[in-house]
Amino acid sequence: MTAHSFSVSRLFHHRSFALGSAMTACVILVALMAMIGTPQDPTAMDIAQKMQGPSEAHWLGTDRYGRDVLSMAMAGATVSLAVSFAAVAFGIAFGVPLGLFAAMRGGALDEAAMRISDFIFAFPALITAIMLREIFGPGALNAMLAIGIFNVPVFARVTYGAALSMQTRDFVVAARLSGKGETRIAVDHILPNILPLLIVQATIQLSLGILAEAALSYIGLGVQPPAPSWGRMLNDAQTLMAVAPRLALVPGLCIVFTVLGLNLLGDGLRDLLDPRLKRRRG
Amino acid sequence: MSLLWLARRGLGLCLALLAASVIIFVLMDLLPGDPAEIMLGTSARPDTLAALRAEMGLDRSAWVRYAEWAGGLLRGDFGKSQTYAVPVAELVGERLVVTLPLALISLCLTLIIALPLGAWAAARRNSTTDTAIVAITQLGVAIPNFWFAMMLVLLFAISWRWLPSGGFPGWDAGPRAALALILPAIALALPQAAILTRVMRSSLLETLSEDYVRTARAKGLTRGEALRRHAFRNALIPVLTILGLQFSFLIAGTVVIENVFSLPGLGRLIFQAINQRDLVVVRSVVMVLIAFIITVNFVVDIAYALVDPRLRGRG
Repeated sequence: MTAHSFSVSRLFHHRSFALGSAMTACVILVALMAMIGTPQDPTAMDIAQKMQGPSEAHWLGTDRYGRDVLSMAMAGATVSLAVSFAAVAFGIAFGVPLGLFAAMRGGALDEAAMRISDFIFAFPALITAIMLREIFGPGALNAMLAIGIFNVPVFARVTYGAALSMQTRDFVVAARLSGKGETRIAVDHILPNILPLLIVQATIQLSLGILAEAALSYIGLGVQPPAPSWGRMLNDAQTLMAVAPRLALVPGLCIVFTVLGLNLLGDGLRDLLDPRLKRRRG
Repeated sequence: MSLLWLARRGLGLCLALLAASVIIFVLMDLLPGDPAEIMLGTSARPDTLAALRAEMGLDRSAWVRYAEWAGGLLRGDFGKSQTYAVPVAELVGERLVVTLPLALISLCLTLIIALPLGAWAAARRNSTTDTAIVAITQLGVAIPNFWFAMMLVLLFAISWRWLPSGGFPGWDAGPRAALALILPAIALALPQAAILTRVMRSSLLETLSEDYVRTARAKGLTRGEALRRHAFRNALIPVLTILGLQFSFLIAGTVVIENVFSLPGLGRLIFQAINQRDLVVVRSVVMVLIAFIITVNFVVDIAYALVDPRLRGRG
């Protein structure tokens, strides 16, 4: 089993882990707070108050419909994280079993499963979103599925590679000799051991998902108005860039902050959970 | 490279293209219901609908329609656009002269930035330069390309008025056309360059610790010479892998960035077609983009085998 010695102080001495987890915790906290309530209704328009600069009533000002930018950004965090988390869950739910299956079975099925996963990898979320749009219509579900489908081959490949390297390890051989079935071995012995790798990959896919969701909503394939989302806010802000660059800065910085936090967290986790990789990365 | 290996790979490419065409056809033609009704809207007159159905061949079976579409693709006949009333192949051709140069310029920019920067960081491992480069790439990966594009427009087009904020004058305009592609290409190249710099750095660090580099040092080469003569070339293999994998992101990025800058490329064509409910165009352009990605991945596969003979034995 994994033999990493863990202590909380060691965790937080790692700079990128400490910084990344703090940033990510911030975003998750804001997203949770926004589920309970935002300072103002993020969809409430107030034309009399449109295009206001930052003030006491509107900390980050208002947009062209007089909506409160802070509230929209907060609600955007919820949407962005929800879509991205769901897409990662989708990727894990289908990718991990596929990768495990291929690694345990071997032979022609193994080859076929991995070829299929390579093939899916050729479909960027954007193209999938365009294709699914005719069936589901544009919206958060469309974005989640498109990003989720792209996550499947990613998790399949990581699982496959890691599970394959476990096949010759003593504890797997021992389990096989003791008469355990392949499924039991996969669940009892392989999965717990490749979990660190999957966690790291999940963090990376989360951050990619945030970027993809923003792009999809920006071009109109993702979250639809009036539901607030960072991508939509950027789309709205584009024509107003000369007048109010603030409207483009707020959602953009939200995305950068979130993605940066998740990436730092992923890097830190990789160093901490997999010492082998750390040595290799120098 | 053995012919058998090449033939197997070629067969794989054909199968992948075939599978892609089936998936695209099923998702965009069979499942959404009546394409003619989608295109004309529910308020269309029955006779107009019937006419469009006949024109699109919707009265025939799905098999026949697929065979006609796929057969047409093979002959370069992508169907006819409903809104522009011209062959889709013609539209695609017109748009490719924008999309292709854009993708190529940003690819070149990516390599010009990433390879030296990654090598520089690796050569000065753990120095301030290295730390700074790693920090910058960390930021570069986190910035969405379309937001970066907007920030570039804000600076270079709105504030300083050095470059156009969007639109494309056509290649007849010469230098002005090239100017119009500068900001979009930079916006596309940034995240790609950030990722590739990181890959280049870690790959070079790995090769620098290999025995042959130590041998080279032992026979009197300086660290820099060993890096240039021995490590650099070998470090390029993982870079090539990632470059191939990143290609689908580059294509997706082009689609988004063209919309930020209103460039008349394939990406803009897709979205205009989506808004105009011109399904024939959407379907064929999606197929073109996917075929492009699959083919590039195939070429990268072959390129590996040329660079690294050890990989030829596999699959």
